[in-house]
Amino acid sequence: MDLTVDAAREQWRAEVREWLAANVPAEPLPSLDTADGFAAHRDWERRMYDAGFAVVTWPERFGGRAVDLLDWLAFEEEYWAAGAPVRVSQNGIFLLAPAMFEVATEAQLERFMVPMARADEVWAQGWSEPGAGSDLAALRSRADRVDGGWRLNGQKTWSTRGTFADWMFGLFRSDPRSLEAGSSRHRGLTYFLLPLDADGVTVRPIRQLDGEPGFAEVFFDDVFVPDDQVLGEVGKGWSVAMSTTTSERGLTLRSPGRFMASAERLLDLVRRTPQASGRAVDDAVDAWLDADAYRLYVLDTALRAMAGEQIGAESSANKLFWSDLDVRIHDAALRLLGPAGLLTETADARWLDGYLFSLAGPIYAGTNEIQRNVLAERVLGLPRA
Amino acid sequence: MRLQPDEDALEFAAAVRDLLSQTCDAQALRAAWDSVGQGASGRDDGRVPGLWKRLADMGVAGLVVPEELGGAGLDLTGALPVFVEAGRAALPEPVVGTSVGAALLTQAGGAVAHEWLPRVAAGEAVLALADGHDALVVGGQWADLFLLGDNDGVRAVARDDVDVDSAPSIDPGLGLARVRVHAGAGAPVDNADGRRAFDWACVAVAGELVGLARAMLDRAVGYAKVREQFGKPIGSFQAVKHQLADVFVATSFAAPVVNRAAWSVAHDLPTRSRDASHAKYAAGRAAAQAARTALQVHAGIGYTYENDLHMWLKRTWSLASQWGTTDWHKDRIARELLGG
Ligand SMILES: Cc1cc2nc3c(=O)[nH]c(=O)nc-3n(C[C@H](O)[C@H](O)[C@H](O)COP(=O)(O)OP(=O)(O)OC[C@H]3O[C@@H](n4cnc5c(N)ncnc54)[C@H](O)[C@@H]3O)c2cc1C
Repeated sequence: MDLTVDAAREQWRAEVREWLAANVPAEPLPSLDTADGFAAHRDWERRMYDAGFAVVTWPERFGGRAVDLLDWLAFEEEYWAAGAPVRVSQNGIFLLAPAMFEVATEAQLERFMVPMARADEVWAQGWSEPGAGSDLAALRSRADRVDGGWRLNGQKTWSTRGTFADWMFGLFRSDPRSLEAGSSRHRGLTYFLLPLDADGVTVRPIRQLDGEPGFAEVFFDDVFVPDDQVLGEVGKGWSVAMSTTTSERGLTLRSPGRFMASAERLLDLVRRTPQASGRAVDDAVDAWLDADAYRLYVLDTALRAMAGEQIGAESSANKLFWSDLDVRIHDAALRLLGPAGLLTETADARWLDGYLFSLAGPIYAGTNEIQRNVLAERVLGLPRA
Repeated sequence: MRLQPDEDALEFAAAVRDLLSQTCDAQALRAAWDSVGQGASGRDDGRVPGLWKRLADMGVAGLVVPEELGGAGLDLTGALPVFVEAGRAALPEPVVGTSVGAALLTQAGGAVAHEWLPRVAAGEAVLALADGHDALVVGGQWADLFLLGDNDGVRAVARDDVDVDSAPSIDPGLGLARVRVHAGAGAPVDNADGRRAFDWACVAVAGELVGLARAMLDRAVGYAKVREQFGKPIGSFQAVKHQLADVFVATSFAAPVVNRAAWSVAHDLPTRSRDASHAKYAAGRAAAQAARTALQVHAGIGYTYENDLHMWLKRTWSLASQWGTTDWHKDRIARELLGG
């Protein structure tokens, strides 16, 4: 065991901290789910990009710093501790990019990575459909072969930031026979990259629990997509998608820094709430401890991954833990705040926003029930129903 | 950086695990439990005959005794995997108590250490820690030397200078005894840091609790694969699956907390006590959840003395309450985080 942090890493952390201290906007940016807020968040991403902090793990030729997972974790801790804005480009840089680096052609990398990193092109995820949620492989939106490319028809839904995004990465059924009885539904899917202003695309905003149009449904009506916007092989969309899912549940979607920062703020809230109920205090301490446990678990996973170990279905454990933790952090905060916690225009309203957002954690990126099935079947080896 | 114990420590623990799977399987454990009250002196009640000698030959008795005094010279991070194996086997031997005592004597050095540590490493002397002059002591039944912590520091008291009364508990494999020290008995252990030894013990026991949690999860999963109802293995029912998945999560997230605490205690970091309490708390909670779930999944058969599961349940309950209850550790952390 060796938990000493070497000087080069400390120096990296200090560099990040210094830049954030000088650059994080003093006032929170307007909500990401408004046109103004979206633009303000794009500007922030460009500033990060220009300073070399937008995509620190990426290769230098795409504006990254090629840092390893440990330095990334330190970056994230500093980022959230500094109270920096949420990342408008997160679908692209955290979910799509890992799949791109695995299977994209050189031309695709040249075309897409820098605009993704600068948030010149913000990406939305187009997987879920009205009839395909947990059972994603039931999806029916289809892609038909045409000269030079594909024609897309169908509907996607719950696409986060779809209202204001520029591009979408989506799964479509390119082989309709794969839905027939006796064939594998996971085959016959293809992964597409497409601009949301293409002819035949209709984006309809959907207001989320907080009343803001945080996601969208997207309709496809004979949308042409050229061959060079297929990611990976035709018919292999499922496995490309699963490489995204591994990173989504695993390390990159929710770094510990985020929960550590919230848990620290929660303890501050306890300290300035003298009449706090013992039960809420107790839950706050639990949340802080679990944020610390999450940090250690992810550190251990990162170290094992860096040592060459394959990280598999255990990433489901990760997703279960952080999503439950996030709800408990915010739930404790709202209980400490009492009726004032439900006011929407106060300085403490960030707890309410955070609470509403935390409630989505057990739903998106594969519901927690699905994650438990995955753990039970693939890690514990229990039989399928 | 590395948060896992070192490879050689893991390899050593794997060898211990092999030995225990041969010498201390459920049948041997049951026999050990049944031996209570059968022997003449009661000294070795609840133990597996001959096992301590074999463990000592392997180096387990002297795990943390310095090499120059005949031990393996490991620190807590290196010893931890062995404590996990002790938990996995619900081992009825004083591995943890002796190691804690040896760590304390090693830290203090001096005459008592030089007199006793070689005997500890050779498997000839067993140690136990006592909290005060009249205390319930884990392994008290078996100990040759008691290290007694009080406000004045630590004293070493030989068995002749204490009264030991066995304290029958739900876990006969714990060597639990009420120990009363004769007035003025024993010698002071100069420079002994009793508080650090306490934190050391908490982490070691947390390691045992992680091993217990894994063992109970394995048992429950194994049972869920073979027990059939409604024409299928019960492990195919989601209500069963999800409970077991939750135990897997709780256990997976406790282990790194325990590892980190071993490092903090071994290096005497400023966060040492908080990290140790976090370890005991997280492992205590995970093991308690594993115990509840394992019993629920076994149902009727799990509620019997005939099935082996109960020995792991009872060890879990015992260790969760010893060395500061799970709640006590939580309170200690809360005080440190919030002041007051
Ligand atoms: C805030 C938010 C953002 C999102 N962003 C995106 C996005 O950007 N792009 C995108 O494509 N999708 C997105 N989603 C959609 C999300 O992935 C789906 O909501 C999710 O996969 C669940 O699908 P569903 O809503 O259809 O629920 P259903 O699948 O209908 O599930 C309903 C309930 O049944 C349970 N259930 C279903 N099947 C099983 C089973 N086999 N075993 C046990 N329980 C089961 C579920 O766990 C759930 O509790 C987002 C969702 C939210 C809430």
